[in-house]
Amino acid sequence: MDPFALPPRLGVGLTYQRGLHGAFTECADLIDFYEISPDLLCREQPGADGGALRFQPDLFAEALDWCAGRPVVVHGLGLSIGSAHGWNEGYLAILDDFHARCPFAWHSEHLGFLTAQRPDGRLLHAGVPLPVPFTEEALALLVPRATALGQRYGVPFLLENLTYYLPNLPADGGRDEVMFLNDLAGRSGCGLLLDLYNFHCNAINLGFDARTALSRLKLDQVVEVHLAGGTTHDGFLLDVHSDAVPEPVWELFEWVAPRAPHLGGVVYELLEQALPVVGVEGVRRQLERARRVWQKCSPTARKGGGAYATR
Amino acid sequence: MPLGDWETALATLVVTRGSALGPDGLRRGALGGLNLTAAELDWLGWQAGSPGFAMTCRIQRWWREIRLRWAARLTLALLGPSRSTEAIAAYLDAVPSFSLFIVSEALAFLDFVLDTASAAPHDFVPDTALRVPHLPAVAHFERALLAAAQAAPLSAGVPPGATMVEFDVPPEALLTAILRGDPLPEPDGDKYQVLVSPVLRHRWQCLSPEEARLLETGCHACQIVLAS
Repeated sequence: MDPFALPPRLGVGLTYQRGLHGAFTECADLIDFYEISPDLLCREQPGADGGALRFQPDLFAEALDWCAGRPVVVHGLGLSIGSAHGWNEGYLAILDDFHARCPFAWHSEHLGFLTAQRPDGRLLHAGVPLPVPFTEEALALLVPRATALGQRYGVPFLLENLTYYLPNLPADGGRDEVMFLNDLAGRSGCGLLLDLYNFHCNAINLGFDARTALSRLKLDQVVEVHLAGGTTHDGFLLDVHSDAVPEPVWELFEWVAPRAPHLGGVVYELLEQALPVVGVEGVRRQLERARRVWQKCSPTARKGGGAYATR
Repeated sequence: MPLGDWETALATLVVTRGSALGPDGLRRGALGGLNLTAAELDWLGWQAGSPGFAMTCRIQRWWREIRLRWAARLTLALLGPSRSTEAIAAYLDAVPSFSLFIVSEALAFLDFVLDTASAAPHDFVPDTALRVPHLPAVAHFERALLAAAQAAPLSAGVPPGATMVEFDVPPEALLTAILRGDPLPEPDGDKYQVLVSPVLRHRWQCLSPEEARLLETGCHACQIVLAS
């Protein structure tokens, strides 16, 4: 097993999206770091299977300018690390490019798959991240990939738990999602990006107690926490990043934070289209509350906003 | 079952919203080439009937629709609320998911709208659904703008070729009317040319008749689109 790489302690972060620039300005004193998804700064060049990705120079430069003076972490969307036929090499190419221009404190991806291979060999794009089964075969695929990504840039690599709506995923060895995450983190040395809103959605949608399940998770390998709010449709809680963080998720964070000794940061996720719903003041409230929990659990953190209080 | 086959089966079910299972058996159609046991096929069949599976499929279509409503606003505004919903639904049914990128999805949608608008009536598109005045010009224009954004030079150098789009009415008046929801201007017998290029400010500009003639005769790199 590869040793788990300890992350730096960054503080409270916000997802970088162009439509959130107003929030960045108004909440600058509360933002310690930014989380960037390189995919959102790219264009796709048409190709037979998926196409190549290239950064759009103006978007990339703008992102670097807005994030200047603060640490950056990366959260990818398109790697498809769980695809048995192969992950997205095009995404790795842009990640290499990104790292060369803007080193990041850690990087992360979604634990799932987007693409599969049809029987005739052509690519099949699911259009939505799908969960991997909780099986030994899935672990055999994921462990070396996670290990390799942890070594690629010399910084921690994290995997994020997905929201999913499919009941009774195949499992062996008596595994559920928590045991699978523990096995994956334990064998590969990768960190965990614990998306507490996703975890809360799965608990509500699939019928288990979130706190009891979290008590079994390898919290010593949780490097980052995501907080978000969403919506309900047809009885399902949806992970849409479209609202303030609901109280049950705050309670989970308040429980997790003091028990995750290597927690490097917490990020509030918000879609730019939802800023009019939450409002800049609403974003401030989420960041302020996250900071109160962070500071209670990390006494070495600087008071009043971390090291990057002014832009 | 091998992980790859399981992923292919699940993704196929999501993309086809369960229809890949077929009415009487699970071994036909898109799942026929996979190495699945009877128990695994039973699980897939059971999944395809679950509310969670239906929600997964719905989310996939929502994300695709969100991309289109963000990127193809002009064309959808021209179509109006009910026809744009019909057009999006027909597109999502006809074109399987292939990308998470907004522009790629929008380009494919605009191609679908253009192909459908010029095709003979057929079963899944009502005869009048896409016979909308100015639709070909506006869809071509919007497509050219998106393509220009994709083609903007990644470094210094000669930009790729431009697109010229022809309208039956003054383009600025038409586009303003679409965006405001005002009555559309009527054709006045003249033709109006717009040049779309990644090197132009705002990526497009109206051309005078002389400029259009010069470009048509001299610009071999131009893709001339006669939208009428």
